[in-house]
Amino acid sequence: MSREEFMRQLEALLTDISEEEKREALSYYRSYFEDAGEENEERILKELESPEKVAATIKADLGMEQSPENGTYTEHGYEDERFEQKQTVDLKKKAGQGKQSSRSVYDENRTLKIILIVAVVILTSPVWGGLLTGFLGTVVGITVGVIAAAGALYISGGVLLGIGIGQFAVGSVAVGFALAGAGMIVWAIAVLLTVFGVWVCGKAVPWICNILGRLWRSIFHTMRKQQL
Amino acid sequence: MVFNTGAALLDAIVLAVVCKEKEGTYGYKITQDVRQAIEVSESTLYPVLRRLQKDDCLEVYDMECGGRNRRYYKITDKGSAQLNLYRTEWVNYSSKITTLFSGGELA
Repeated sequence: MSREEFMRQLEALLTDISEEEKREALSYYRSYFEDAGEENEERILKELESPEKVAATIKADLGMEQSPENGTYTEHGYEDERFEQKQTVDLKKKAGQGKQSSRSVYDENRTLKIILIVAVVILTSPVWGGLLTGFLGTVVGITVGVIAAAGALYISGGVLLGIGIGQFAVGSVAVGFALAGAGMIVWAIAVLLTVFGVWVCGKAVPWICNILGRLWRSIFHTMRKQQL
Repeated sequence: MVFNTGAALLDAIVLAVVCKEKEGTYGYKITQDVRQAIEVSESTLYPVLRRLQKDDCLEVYDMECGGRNRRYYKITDKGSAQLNLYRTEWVNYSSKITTLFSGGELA
């Protein structure tokens, strides 16, 4: 770029400042080139970088007059920390907005999925409701049955033993032994049933609950994974 | 240059450079003189000179030189007063930092 070309471009770039400022600036740079002499022309053009940069420096100074405390001149030209800060604030704001909007999309997705799941659960309720009720009924039935059977066996065992002892007193030792023995066997079965009942309540029920819990968690876990 | 030259220091340097020439001096020469002390780009000084001129710290006049008009900058009374203020502040500021850097205790 020649000196004339530089001056022409600078003039075009300064059309939006006052006529006086433009004339001042152009005359300064014109005489700057003249004082430097032709031998320095190339070096100066290189150091000035571009008409755009020079125009920006001139305009920055004019903007600074309205708010004298904001800008700083350094050996690198005009620097305004306020603008730099503003820019970062804007960037942060933008980033925040971006995050927010993506989160709201994510939220919408999640809400939609939950609604769908609830709808499916309600629609299929006759099927899984029946299965669940049946399963729970079976478990409760078995438990109650075991407890009732054990109770009945305790009672009948006791009765048999009582009758057997009664038979001893009456004198029929053989019948007495047979009945007492049968009563003890019935008691033994009752004790076995009790042990089984305790095992069911103590181990099997928590185990089943555990299995159901794991199933539940794994379903939710995969759902969450899909969402992410 | 590791240290930034702030607006006030740049003003002070330019005033000091212009002050040396009783008859005034011109843009290109001011830039070259300032460059003896600190690194400045060619485009740095125009806004500084323009601002000092508007603040009445510098006055300008055009003088014929080699068949064309050359703009001269000359320090005003206000500019001299401002420069004295800067000098006092600078001595204060720089001596404290020098003391600190050399490991001395500040009074």
